[in-house]
Amino acid sequence: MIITTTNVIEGSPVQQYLGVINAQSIIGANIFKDFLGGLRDVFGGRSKTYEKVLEQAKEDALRELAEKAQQLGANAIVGVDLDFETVGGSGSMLMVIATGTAVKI
Amino acid sequence: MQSFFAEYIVPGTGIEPQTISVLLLKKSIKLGYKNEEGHPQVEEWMLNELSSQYKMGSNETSVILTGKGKQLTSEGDALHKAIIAVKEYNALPRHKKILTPVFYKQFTAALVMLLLLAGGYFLLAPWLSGLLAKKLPRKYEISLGEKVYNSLMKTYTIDEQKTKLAGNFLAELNFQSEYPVQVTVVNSKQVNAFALPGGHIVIYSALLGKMKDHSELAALLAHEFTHVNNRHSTRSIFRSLGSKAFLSLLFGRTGMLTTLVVDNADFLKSLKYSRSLEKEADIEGLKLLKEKQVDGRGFVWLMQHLGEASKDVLPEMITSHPNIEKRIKYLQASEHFVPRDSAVNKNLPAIFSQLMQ
Repeated sequence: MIITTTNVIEGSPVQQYLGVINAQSIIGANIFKDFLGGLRDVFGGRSKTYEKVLEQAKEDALRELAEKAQQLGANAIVGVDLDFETVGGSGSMLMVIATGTAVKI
Repeated sequence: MQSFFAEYIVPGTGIEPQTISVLLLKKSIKLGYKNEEGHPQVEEWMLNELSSQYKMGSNETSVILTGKGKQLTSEGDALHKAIIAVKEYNALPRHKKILTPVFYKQFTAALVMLLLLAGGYFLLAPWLSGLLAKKLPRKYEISLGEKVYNSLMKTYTIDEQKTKLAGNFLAELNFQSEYPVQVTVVNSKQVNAFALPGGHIVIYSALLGKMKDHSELAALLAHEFTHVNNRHSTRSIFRSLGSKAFLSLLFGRTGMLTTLVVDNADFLKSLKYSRSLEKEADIEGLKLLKEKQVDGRGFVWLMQHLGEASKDVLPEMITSHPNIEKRIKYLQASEHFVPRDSAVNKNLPAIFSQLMQ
């Protein structure tokens, strides 16, 4: 499975378009991570804890996207776009939406 | 998630070997292929049911689903290595997956930060606010007290005549202070009195009504005067609000200190001095009475009235004032305790009897 943000795959022309697919993952950092993140906000610097949460959410969304593509019989996803949003009452949860086109190359 | 391409012969069908997509997940691999009818199909192989092997000669990885006779081959050793890595990670005991060195580092960092913050909150903030209270200019303290007084008095009705008489009584006592000490009598059924920073002393009419002798009023004024003169209220306010100010500093809501104090004017009413400050006010107040040649027993009687009013239901540990009996005991034991049967300054009982009318 090739997952790419580009519209074409160099050297492998698209044989068949199987449709637009999307997957999302909504993830909440726990209260301790929020606390650590809050401290980072006060003292400055990179918040590794939040970065990890973000990475995890992206990973989950892409995995789901690949599984959906596989069900359609695709062997590649082109034009993948990742959207990051905060959801929840105080914006304390993170949402990642992955969108792409499942294709056969 | 990692993805690969592999060659797969669907067993039991006549279809030709095909290139399929393989997704390596946490517990399994997923194979996407075309079935006999040409429709896409997904098959899942659990990681614990399969074995992978890398063959150097042909430079390919073969993955076998044990017992089912299913097999796929992939070019290079990438798939083999990835499967091994995931299997090894899965085989780790649970605590090792969570308690990584990074976790320990972060945990320690968080703990240290928490301790520092707690230290700041419980030790640094009170200490700093104590320091600040000492450095606070008198003028500012007086104007602060004035603001708090004005905001508090909106909720009370002042007894003008008694206030005037009590003012005369205070003037007759002639306590020396750099603060403009003023006394106000307000109508209330509560038996209470309090001092504000900068000189305002507020007495509730119910407490006044309980008094039988001028020495009691003198004792009360001496006690509250010591609170004012020794800056007890300012110190207590700063101590109580210091932690609040620390928090608002930390979370970026820096308001003017005055606003903070005035906003909390209501709380000042119930402001509790620490027990050591109360004792200081008692003993120094008693000393003042001795200097002014007023009956020291007034203090004891005052305590008894307060005791009757509150009945002292709460044990000493959880109230701010020392328990009444203890207060009476240390007052009577003090070297400054001087009983006098007749007043030296005849004006005091005269004003007091006017007050009682």
